[in-house]
Amino acid sequence: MVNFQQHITSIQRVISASITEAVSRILKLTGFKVKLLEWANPEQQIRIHSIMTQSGIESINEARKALGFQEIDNPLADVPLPFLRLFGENEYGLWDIQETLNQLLTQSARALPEKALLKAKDRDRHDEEVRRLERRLNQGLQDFFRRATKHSAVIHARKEIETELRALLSSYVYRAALEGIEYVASVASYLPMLDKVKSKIEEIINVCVNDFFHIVSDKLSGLSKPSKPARNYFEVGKQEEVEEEDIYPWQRLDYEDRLNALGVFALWDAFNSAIANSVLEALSTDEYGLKWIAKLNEQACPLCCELHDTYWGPEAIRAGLYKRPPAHPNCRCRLVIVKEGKELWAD
Amino acid sequence: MSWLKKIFSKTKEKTEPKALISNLPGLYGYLGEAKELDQKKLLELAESDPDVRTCIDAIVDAVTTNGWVINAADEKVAERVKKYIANEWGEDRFWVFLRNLTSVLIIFDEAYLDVTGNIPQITAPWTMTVRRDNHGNVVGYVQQTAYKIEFSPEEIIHIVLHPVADRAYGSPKLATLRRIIEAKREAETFYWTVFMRKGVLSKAFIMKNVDEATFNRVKNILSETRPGDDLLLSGDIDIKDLGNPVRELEILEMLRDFRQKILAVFRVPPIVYGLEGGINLETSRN
Repeated sequence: MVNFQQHITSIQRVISASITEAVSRILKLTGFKVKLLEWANPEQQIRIHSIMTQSGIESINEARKALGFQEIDNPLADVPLPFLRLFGENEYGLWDIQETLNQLLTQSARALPEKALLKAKDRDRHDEEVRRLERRLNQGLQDFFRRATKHSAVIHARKEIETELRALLSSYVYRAALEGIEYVASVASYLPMLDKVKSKIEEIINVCVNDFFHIVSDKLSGLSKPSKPARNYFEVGKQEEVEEEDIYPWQRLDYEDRLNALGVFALWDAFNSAIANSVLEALSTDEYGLKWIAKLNEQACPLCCELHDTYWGPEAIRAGLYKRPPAHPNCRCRLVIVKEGKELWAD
Repeated sequence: MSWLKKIFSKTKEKTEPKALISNLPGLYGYLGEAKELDQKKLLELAESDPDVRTCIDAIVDAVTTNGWVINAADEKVAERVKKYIANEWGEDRFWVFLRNLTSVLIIFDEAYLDVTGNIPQITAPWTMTVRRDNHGNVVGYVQQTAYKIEFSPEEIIHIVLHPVADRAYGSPKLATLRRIIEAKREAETFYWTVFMRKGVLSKAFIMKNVDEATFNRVKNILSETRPGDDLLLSGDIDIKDLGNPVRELEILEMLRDFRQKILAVFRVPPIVYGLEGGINLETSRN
């Protein structure tokens, strides 16, 4: 997007200079400039309107109207914010300024790509560690892929490298799961227990091994890009809230990215599964909730933005009525434990 | 040396560079420097391809959508320019003029503004040529339509978006994309043919133990059938498919790759183009 904006700005400069020169020659006049106003992407426009609203240059309704949102049916929404703050919130029992602002922010967040308004949460050392594991696992998968594609048939490749590949995946996936368990143990009164997530981890490893050879098979059969995975192994997708075509749109990943996505899925699924399963165990001693935290930057997808900050209480967790990342390939969202309304992050 | 000679020699030293341009005027004569590209072909490429057309529209919209301002230190000057635009053009016509100028620049990478009238006039780039001296200084412009019209350098504003070395003309992105667009057109034509045949592709008709008359009869029938027609033939005929090129050539994948390349060259992000899938889910880096 930035690239496009720079491109537009440079074209605008050329056109502005030309028009200025043309008008100058016709009018025989100097000392002026015809300037085309810069194009701003929707995200920037939201940011600009937010600043203008905060500083009182425009009212909430003016900002909403400019952004294409429905206006709020309340006369105070037409008053600039600094004036409202002078009165204080308590004098207007029915009118909560913060709530109105939140409405604006929430509605903005639903539309693409206005993530800039949402404040990105800090990441803790556990997901930083998973990110580090990602890089190393990806490197390992690429090496195995190179080795596997030297064979003439996938069956030979599988015979030779499956055991080693399984060992590689196990070492990383278990470490990611341990990060999740350690996180739960550090913030909740819970004794770390790996056996509670072992079956899930084995399932992840099996899926990864099979899909790895699926990718190898695509390469050996001469496809320019790997086909989409034979299964939909993403947690949110399983709950059929997302269309298959949304997860795997027509822009297929290339081999390197597909392998990378496989590694990302394995680690983050193990990490989040470990958190979710451990929290379920920890519920026997205390009441904990879970929150979906997305990494909100300009690349965050609408699905994760929508799920960001979603909270599930202890009852929902016990009944299994909650969602668990990953939501899609390359999803790096995570679950955070919540106790008495407060998010518990590792130190 | 006389004082006149001194002034002359100093002026010459100051204004004339030593280097010569690669395309010297002696090579092209009084009609102006010939263009290496067929600009009408560029226009045809831009108009015929939906992806190129959409990219151009996206850029034109982004360039002009937020309007313009007149900046001047002296308010009277600013006021005079504003009045000039309002009276001679009107806001809407000026906006259309800006869009036209942007489109011309994107397609041809150059534009010519004739400033001899009340308002600048965009001339068709394929009718214009530039005349330069040995050192690359513009000495005039020539327009060739039914008549030959000469312009002085002051009468024309020549805008080049991507100047390259000492070339007089621009380097259009469409020239870079020419082969892609032509290949895409061929792929689309192929696909269209498949549709016209109702998905039925080429077949081989193998006739066993056939006499020449029957062979010629079947040959004539086949040559007269239209794509998609059904055939009812008697005799010992074996019909074999000659493969499925749509699948084997990955035509759909190819068409998508072509579009990606067009978007990349025009630097238009998929979301601006109108493709939501381009930035989310599988391709996202959350």
